[in-house]
Amino acid sequence: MATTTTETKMLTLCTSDKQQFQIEETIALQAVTIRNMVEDECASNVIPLPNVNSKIMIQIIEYLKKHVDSSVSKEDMEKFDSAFVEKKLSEIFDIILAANYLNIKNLLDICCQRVADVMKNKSPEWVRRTFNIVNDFTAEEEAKIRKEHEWAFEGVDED
Amino acid sequence: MSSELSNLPRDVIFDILSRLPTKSLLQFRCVSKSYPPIISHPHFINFHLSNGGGGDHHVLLHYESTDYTTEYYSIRCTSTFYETIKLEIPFKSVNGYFRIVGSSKGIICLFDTNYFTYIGTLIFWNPSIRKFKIVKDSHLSHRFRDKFSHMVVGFGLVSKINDFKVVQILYDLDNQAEPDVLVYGFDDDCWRKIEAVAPCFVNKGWSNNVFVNGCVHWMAYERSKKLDGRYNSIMAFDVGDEVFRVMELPRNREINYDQMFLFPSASEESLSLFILFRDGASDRWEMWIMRQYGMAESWMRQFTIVQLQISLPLMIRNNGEVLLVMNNGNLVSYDPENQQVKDLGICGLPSSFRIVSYMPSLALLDGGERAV
Repeated sequence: MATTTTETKMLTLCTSDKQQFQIEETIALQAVTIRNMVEDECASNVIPLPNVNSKIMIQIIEYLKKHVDSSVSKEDMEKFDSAFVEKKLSEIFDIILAANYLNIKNLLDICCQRVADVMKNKSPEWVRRTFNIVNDFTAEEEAKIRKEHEWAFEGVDED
Repeated sequence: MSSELSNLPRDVIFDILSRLPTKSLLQFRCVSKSYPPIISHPHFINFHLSNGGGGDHHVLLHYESTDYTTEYYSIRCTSTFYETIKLEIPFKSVNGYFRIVGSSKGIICLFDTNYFTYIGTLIFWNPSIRKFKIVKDSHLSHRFRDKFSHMVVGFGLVSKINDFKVVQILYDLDNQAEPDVLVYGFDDDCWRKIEAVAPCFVNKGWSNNVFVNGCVHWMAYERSKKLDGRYNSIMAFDVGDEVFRVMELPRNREINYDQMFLFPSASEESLSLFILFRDGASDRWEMWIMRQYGMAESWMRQFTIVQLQISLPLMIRNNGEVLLVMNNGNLVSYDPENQQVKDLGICGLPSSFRIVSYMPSLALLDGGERAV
């Protein structure tokens, strides 16, 4: 490190519900959005994150802390990641929104994969229920489109 | 915050859906009317293609019944070989019969041709979504020469731009003049003549097109070499750069083989050859692999099969087994490790069998004609 001071530089992040989080700069800078903010307006001590609430921020910090640690083996990191995404879909969506806003590519990646893994082999009914999507097809229209893709409905999971 | 998928930014939804197999996406088209616009969008279809199409690998099997009356097309699981979908070709042959040119990213390219004229019409077919597109004939825009003999066709995907391309090589009867080379791009929807010179001759009954590494490959005859009716090289056409290349066969195999068949290697990243030697009473098949694509020095014999009544080798499976059609028309899977033969319960006209790898995709979803 170029700096001579041994003191760890800290950043303060302020979430939408006005909670403040003090974290090491190296951890926070993994989020590209934070890095850009720090580079652009270096004077500010507190970084406002109006799109992230404290509940999600705690989880994101947990993720960033693990990922800044270069002593963690690739295997352990994968284990951590797969355990990290073992959450309800609603929570994953919130993390996706935050990761997208903060621009943390790896986190976004594992969360998108998690959603895709859950959705695989699910029926259209399950998708509608889970994502609150209204079925705006008429019965005839739906039958027609199902007929077109008949083979795709073999081996769908039981709801 | 709510758990609605639609609250996510559009590019994130794009990202999530592109990780799903084609099968799931087709189911989800029934979720609501607002779902199809994303899935049917050309950008999404391309993105899904370049993302590996959700990674479900299959094969397309075609064969005819032994009495020539029925043709079978089916999509089967690569590993178990179980039938996933039974297919019927949704259009009629105008010229005589269909030949499978190749398969890439969900599109099967068929050549509607016959045994007499050796010209024909190309059809792109996506069996998963039951859509097809008939490619307009090249002779509408390009005049064939009077001494035209036959055309050789190749099909592949330019992965950089996600465009399907067909190459046609038009050979003359006297085989002296340079053949014309025409290229059709799916996105442009037109044929153009290109300057590239086809360095080899490919005969009328052109062998299976093998598409690996962005190139179509045919068994061919290089004119500068001794011609005795046996293939002496492999001609490759790079569908991206639109240039030809010639590849050498295993050097010590130039002489005295009886038949030679070209295949993608198990990894589909290089080429393999099945070579038949008839030594007196018994047949000997050798399987060769080009370990490093494009390097003739890297040809290596992998194994030899003796004492099996093989009519036609069909495919090298990704588990290392090979699919073979036996003289009695039975389709079997042969394990070279322990030399075990597994009957797959399929029997047909030996010469009619054809298998290509197949990965369901959404290509043609936003265009093409709907099969009834």
